[in-house]
Amino acid sequence: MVTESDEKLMAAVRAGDLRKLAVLFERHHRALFSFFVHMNGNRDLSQDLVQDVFFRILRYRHTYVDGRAFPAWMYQIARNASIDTGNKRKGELQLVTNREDDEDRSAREPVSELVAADEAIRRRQEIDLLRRALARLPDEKREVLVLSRFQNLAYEEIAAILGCEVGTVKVRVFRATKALGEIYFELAGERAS
Amino acid sequence: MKCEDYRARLPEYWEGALVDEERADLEMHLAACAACRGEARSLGEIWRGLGNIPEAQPPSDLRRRFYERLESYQQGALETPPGPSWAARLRSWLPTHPAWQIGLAAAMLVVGFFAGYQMDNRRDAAQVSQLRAEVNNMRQLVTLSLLQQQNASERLRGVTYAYRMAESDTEVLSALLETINHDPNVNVRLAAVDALHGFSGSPVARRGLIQSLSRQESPLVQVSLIDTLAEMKDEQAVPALRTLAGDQAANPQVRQRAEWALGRLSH
Ligand SMILES: [Zn+2]
Repeated sequence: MVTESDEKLMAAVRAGDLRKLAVLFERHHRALFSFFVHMNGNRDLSQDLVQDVFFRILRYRHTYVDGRAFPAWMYQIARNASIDTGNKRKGELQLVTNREDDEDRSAREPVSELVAADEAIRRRQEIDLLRRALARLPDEKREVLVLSRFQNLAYEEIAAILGCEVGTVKVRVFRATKALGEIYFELAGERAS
Repeated sequence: MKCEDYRARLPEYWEGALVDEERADLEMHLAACAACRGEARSLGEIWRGLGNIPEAQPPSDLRRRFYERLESYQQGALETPPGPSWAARLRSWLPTHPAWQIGLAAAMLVVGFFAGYQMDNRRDAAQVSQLRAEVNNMRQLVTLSLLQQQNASERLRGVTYAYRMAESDTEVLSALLETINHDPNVNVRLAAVDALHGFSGSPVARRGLIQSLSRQESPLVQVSLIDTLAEMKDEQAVPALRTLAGDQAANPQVRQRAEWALGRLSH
């Protein structure tokens, strides 16, 4: 089976074949949802934003330019949607506990031995600490980190989304990681003492 | 290269994205520079740790809502011919903030009014209707953006804006149906039902209202839907009304109202 490229699908949507949007939705809605949850920490808001993005794509389909990388275009729309609706909630970023997700994962892990159980607890604590550190990271640092670490986007694509040079993206990803590390080790220190 | 340049390559190094030459170069520097080696070790731990964070799973509702809305959008698109292409051009320079959009729409209305007044004098009906179409498109944009706001009172304003649409508009219609089915605020849902009176000529609107009947939990919204359907005199509503009238779990007043509507529809 030959899979159509995102860009081909989007060109078809633009030409009026709206069903093709469903294929794009299936490919990207999970990643988009997780992007929003990382950015605003609110599952309900993120769900609305994902809907919003896909219907913005439909509404602005005439502005899609051939050959333009679809993910870059989609994330640009996502950032605008986030700014339009999310700004009002600024400062409300909460820690998403994601209890179901954690439980899913731990259920899949073999905890037959005590060692494994210890390891699972240690790992969960580490994840919890990292989540708290991420939530404390300034928006623009968290954004570039999420795009590169969680969204599987190439640096070229991130550069297109953020409107900067590839070299700048590399530096920013590293600086964001460093800033995250500083917060993380500070939190870990607080816990230990 | 300075230490900083090497460090900027670390994320790619961890991802295995460096070409052989770059990787060898970096590894050589790490072997020689204790400061970079320390940073690579501690931050590498952070980078790997991020990979252990489970991805947030979208609620199943997300997919259902998407397909629902896409379907009503498509049905609407089949019924009405595609809008004039100038609308797309117009959108490209429009402000995205609702407050600006409303301001702009208001300005367009004033301009449209005076221009229309002048042209009426010259009896230039074609140009007047062109202007009306443009004003109508501004209203569509304002309505759609208001309906997406987080604040219930802003969404309510969006619904009231929908009244001013001169003719059935596919996008506004699908947004209103989405509001009726999913808005958490009962007042906004009620207002959206009222706004759909203006769309009574559209089969999509009628079908949407009928489908919504079984979804609503608020008796107020249910009664409002029943009244609207009775007024539209659409016989396709009969099965849904019968179900509701016979539903022991439903609110007694809602069931009574459904009976009443069935009586009106059968005449
Ligand atoms: Zn160094």
